[in-house]
Amino acid sequence: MRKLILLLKLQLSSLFGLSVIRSTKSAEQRKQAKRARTLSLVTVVACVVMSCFYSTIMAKAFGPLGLMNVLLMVMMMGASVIALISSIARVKSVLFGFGDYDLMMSLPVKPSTVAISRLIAFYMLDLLFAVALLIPAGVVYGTYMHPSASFYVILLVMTLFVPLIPLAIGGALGTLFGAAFAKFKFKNVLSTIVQSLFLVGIMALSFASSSIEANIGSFAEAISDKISSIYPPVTLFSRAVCDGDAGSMLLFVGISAALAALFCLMVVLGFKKLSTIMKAVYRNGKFRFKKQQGRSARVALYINEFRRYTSCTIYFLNTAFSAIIVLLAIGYIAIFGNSQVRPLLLAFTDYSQYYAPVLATVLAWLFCISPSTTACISIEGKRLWLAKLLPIKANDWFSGKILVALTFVLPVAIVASVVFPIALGLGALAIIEMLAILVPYIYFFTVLGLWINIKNHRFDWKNEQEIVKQGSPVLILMLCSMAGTILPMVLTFALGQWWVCYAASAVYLVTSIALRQRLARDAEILKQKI
Amino acid sequence: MLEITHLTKRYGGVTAAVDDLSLHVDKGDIFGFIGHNGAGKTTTLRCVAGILDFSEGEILIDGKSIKTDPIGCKQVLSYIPDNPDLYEHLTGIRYLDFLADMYGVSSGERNERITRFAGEFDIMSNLGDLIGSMSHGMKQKIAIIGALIHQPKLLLLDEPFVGLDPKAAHTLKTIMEEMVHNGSAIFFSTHVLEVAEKLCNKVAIIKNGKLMVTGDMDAVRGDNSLEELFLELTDK
Repeated sequence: MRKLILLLKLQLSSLFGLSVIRSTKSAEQRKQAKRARTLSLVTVVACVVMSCFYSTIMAKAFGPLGLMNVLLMVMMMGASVIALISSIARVKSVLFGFGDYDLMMSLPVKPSTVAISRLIAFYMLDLLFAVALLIPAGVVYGTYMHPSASFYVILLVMTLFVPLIPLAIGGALGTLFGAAFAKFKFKNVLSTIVQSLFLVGIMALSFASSSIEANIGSFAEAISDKISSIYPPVTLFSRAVCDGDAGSMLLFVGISAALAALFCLMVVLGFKKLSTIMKAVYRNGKFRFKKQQGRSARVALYINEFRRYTSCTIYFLNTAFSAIIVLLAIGYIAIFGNSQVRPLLLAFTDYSQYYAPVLATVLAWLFCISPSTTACISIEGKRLWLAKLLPIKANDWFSGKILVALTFVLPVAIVASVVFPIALGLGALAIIEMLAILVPYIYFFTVLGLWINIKNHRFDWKNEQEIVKQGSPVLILMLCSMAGTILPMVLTFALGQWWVCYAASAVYLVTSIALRQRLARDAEILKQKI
Repeated sequence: MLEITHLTKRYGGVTAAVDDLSLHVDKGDIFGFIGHNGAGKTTTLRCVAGILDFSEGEILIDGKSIKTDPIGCKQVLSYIPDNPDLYEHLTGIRYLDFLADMYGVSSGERNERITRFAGEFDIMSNLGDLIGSMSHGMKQKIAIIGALIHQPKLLLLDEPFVGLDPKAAHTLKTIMEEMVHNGSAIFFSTHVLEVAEKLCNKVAIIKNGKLMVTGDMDAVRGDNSLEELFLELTDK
């Protein structure tokens, strides 16, 4: 137990830069670490605020219809999906073969103790998301429904168990993928592709045979039915928390605990073997030299950057996930748009001038929430010396990173701008309207992400998750993009003026051009200071 | 080829990792840079390579300032750190191609050099493997080939022989001698004083960031061995 606590303390000290704050002699490093810690806390608070915001909207819509349980079902589903996806992606970096694995295993500590410490760390991040989503939702629910005090106790207890099933399933899948691909040369790329396809499969399943109803009541019931059919524990959760059903609560806790225990047992018993498998390297040793062709430095930079991006599963999935979701949505709208979504739009023809800008803004929010530029400097890690040594113009280096960030996102955005209006019968003008919003938004937040990472970077990470999912630039940009997309939309409806979104887009366009020019002008100095 | 004048590098604005260092390396020199752990050798090398900014002084490479013309300087130099962290997501051949593209090396030249050096370091068959899968020694060899691919005029090496097998170490020494014979200069740090004595025609000894002595090997060493001189200077 003592050693377990020591291991947990060690992991905690590297979180939020605590060890740097305490030990570094460099005032600059301490300041940066403190800033990162503050920003992380601010972001957690902001996530809670956002959860309250969305919960309130849902409460206003579902409350009058007596369907408040749908609010908690949606939030629970959201927390579960996040836990599932993040668990699959984090297995290799957090559970097995993590950065200081060799050091840990050389210490006089039982492998099972190390495994348990990693499992706790694995669980904690998922729990954080669950708490950030469910507790605020619970408070909003409580405000509208005035339940007894036991509601809050049950909600708190149930929230602790919400991440367990997706953690067990995601963890098992991540382990399976990692072990299966361990002996392949390009295992990271393979893992990225398979995990992407898996996520596409999950999303396709949730889109499949869903029908969008033309009124809120039927819509809410449809959501409830759909969620329950995809993930039955949601129903148990809803019954336990909203209805106080003890049987449902026991069943949910029992299933969650059992699955999690099974997964933990697998990890603890197979920790050394699985870690060895995961850390296995493919070495062929049969290379035959072929004549190599040259490329320009700029093209070579872009290709290297692209290879780096796609070689890290967590980096790729965390940033390209939105594009994948939108791709699926494109497919769905192309097939079902006319028959299922268009009738819903026809029910609100008074607001037809808002269709294109609102749709574009929602898509922009998805695309802009996590551009790869927010971690593109930090991900250089210990390889930064190479970027500084080579005769590369700093501006070209930055350009390569921006281009990679746009590589997946921009084409998907353009296709969405064409398919959505056509499938939904919005007219050819809507294509231009959507492009006019999407492109400036995406470019602005991509460049902003780079700026933020230039000013706020970290190279002492042990696994990419620390900077891709937990880095302060990622969190800052997430906050900025949330505010930057939601605010224009809120203003649009508040002022009743459809052009507000376009005005915001124009501001982003001008600002992003200015930001890019400033970056180009100060590139060498900025790179030198990194 | 390399002119360092009053170089000072401070960390945190107070501690000087390198303090008022001045030395020069001419074409054809193999210059040994010797000092105890934490003396400032790596800091000096990184400042010369343009990786680290420095507080005071000037560094000229082939007449160009690393501060005002960093790209011009970097075009003609190469640096191999003591523990080369390379792009692990690339195969050996892709990494070498990438560097060749960065330095603008033509297809013909890169093919010839890769073939030659990969053959001499006996690593040709492993060039298709991911760098992340390579041992330390193999990565070191890849780093060396990468540093030589554009025929640098100034080669900076930080503990180059650590991790190399004896044959590879011998190959590197041969290449170094060939380079200086062709007019390049080499500036490298090492703890292995016997290697420095055999290989270097000039030497500098640094202690706590300050230069203790510099000059021709024979003149600096005198009648003593380099080890005796080093111990004498660093024990003061």
